[in-house]
Amino acid sequence: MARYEDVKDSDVRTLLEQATDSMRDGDPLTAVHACCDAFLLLIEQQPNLLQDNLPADEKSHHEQFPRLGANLFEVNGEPEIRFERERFSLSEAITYLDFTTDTALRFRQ
Amino acid sequence: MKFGLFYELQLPRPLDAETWDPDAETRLFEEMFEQVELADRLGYDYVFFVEHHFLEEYAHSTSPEIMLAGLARTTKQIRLGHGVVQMPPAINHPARVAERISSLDVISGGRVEFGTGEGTSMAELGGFSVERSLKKSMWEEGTRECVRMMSSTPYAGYDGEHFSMPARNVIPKPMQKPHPPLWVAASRRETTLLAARFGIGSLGFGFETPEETAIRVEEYYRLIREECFPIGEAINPGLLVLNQFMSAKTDEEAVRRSANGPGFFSYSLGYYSTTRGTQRAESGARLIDEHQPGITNIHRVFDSLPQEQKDGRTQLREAKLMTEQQIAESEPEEEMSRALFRAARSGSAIGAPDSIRKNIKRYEDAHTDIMVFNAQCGARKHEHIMEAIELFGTQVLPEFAERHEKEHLPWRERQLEGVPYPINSSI
Repeated sequence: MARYEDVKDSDVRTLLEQATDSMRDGDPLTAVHACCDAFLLLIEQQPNLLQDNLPADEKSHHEQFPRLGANLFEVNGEPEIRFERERFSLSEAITYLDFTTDTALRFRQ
Repeated sequence: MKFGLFYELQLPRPLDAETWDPDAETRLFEEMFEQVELADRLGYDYVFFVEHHFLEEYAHSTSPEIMLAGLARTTKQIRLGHGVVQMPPAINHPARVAERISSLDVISGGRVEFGTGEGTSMAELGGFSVERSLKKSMWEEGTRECVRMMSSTPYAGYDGEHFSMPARNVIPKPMQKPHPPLWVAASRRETTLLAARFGIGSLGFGFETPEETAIRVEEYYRLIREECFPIGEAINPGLLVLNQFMSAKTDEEAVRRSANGPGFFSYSLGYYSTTRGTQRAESGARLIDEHQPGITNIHRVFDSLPQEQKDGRTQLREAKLMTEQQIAESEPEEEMSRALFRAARSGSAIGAPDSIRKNIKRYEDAHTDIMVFNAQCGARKHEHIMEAIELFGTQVLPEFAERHEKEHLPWRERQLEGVPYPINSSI
């Protein structure tokens, strides 16, 4: 059973399913976009996620939303993900998917 | 569970001099050869060498292909592992990697394990002008194309994100078909999951505990069955864990001989990280900007730390194995007992053979495929390492080898039922 199926929120779950399907279809760019949309939904539900995932010196980059070309910013108090490129590798897409899924699953606790 | 040795080739600077004596690196390499050749004779299954650059004292294994080529001719059966080749093209062009891996495979009689990695610290990546945010993509592209070069005649050429080349036949071809077993360095759980999705082995270099390993094994094999998009022409399902190791006739002697090896290993690794989040002010670690290449004596900085930071308390706390209060409440008072307690707690292979047997059985119970030992670390003595290799190889390894055949392989076969891809694995 894919891990996204354990995600409570149906909108987030649908986006993660889309991301997984896109990766299977060899389309990592669409997968990354879906993961970013899912993460923004998670921030809507848990606003503290924004500050928790912005770059900070005392945090390892592994503990923050990945900064592999689709990067999270705070603009006037609101979250924004900016795409610095429109080409991603499958491994980068997997990194975004796993981080977003892990974050979503923590809300189950 | 199978076993092997793991080498950074650590060479702490002397405490009483500014730098090493002129023969220090020669001795380091010669001693390594003796250690691995002994392991080979005793039936250890693997040896892995890292590839690091510019990390003085922490890792003098900068050209693993050289060591492995030497061992290819002086050993008979031990598998020769890259742990790992750094795949960003600015560090290692994929065609040169394919040539070296294949050549090593030929001269060794088909014993190569092709571990790959994206590189970590800016100390290294910066030395080759590799941008950190692109290294994962570079790893994937370089590995995928390297495999194609080894398995295709001719290689059709490639116009990619990080390198391009026209059609050529990359030679020689490896003895193992379609290519040697593939691995990726996975010090974090996320990369273990990535490894599963790409159908390659996970080199768990993060000193995972038995409990962490059990979780990763379950997740890993599930993804191999359900969400695998192979990066190679054959998959290599497998999990390897790295463990601290020292053995002697008694537990107490093993702990004494272990000395500050693991502590120096952890400290010097952290020293070279440039991510502030991995620096701990109380550890005395320095940012890379303060490191003076060729001058800074990391060993002397480490030696000035309080003893508790040298021998594991900090690592236990920072690894979230125990809180400070738990450590204080549960640890034995006596220093030697405390050290053994900590080793047992983390599943380390430090102790007399009986103690090691008991500790590492927990990894076997978690269905770990391979355990490799970090024996050569810090300022440990060569003769102590040799005795440890001998003790484990004669008194512990044989029973695990038997259970590997009788119990682990059938378990593994069940995990891989229905997987539609060809498998090329030494496990």
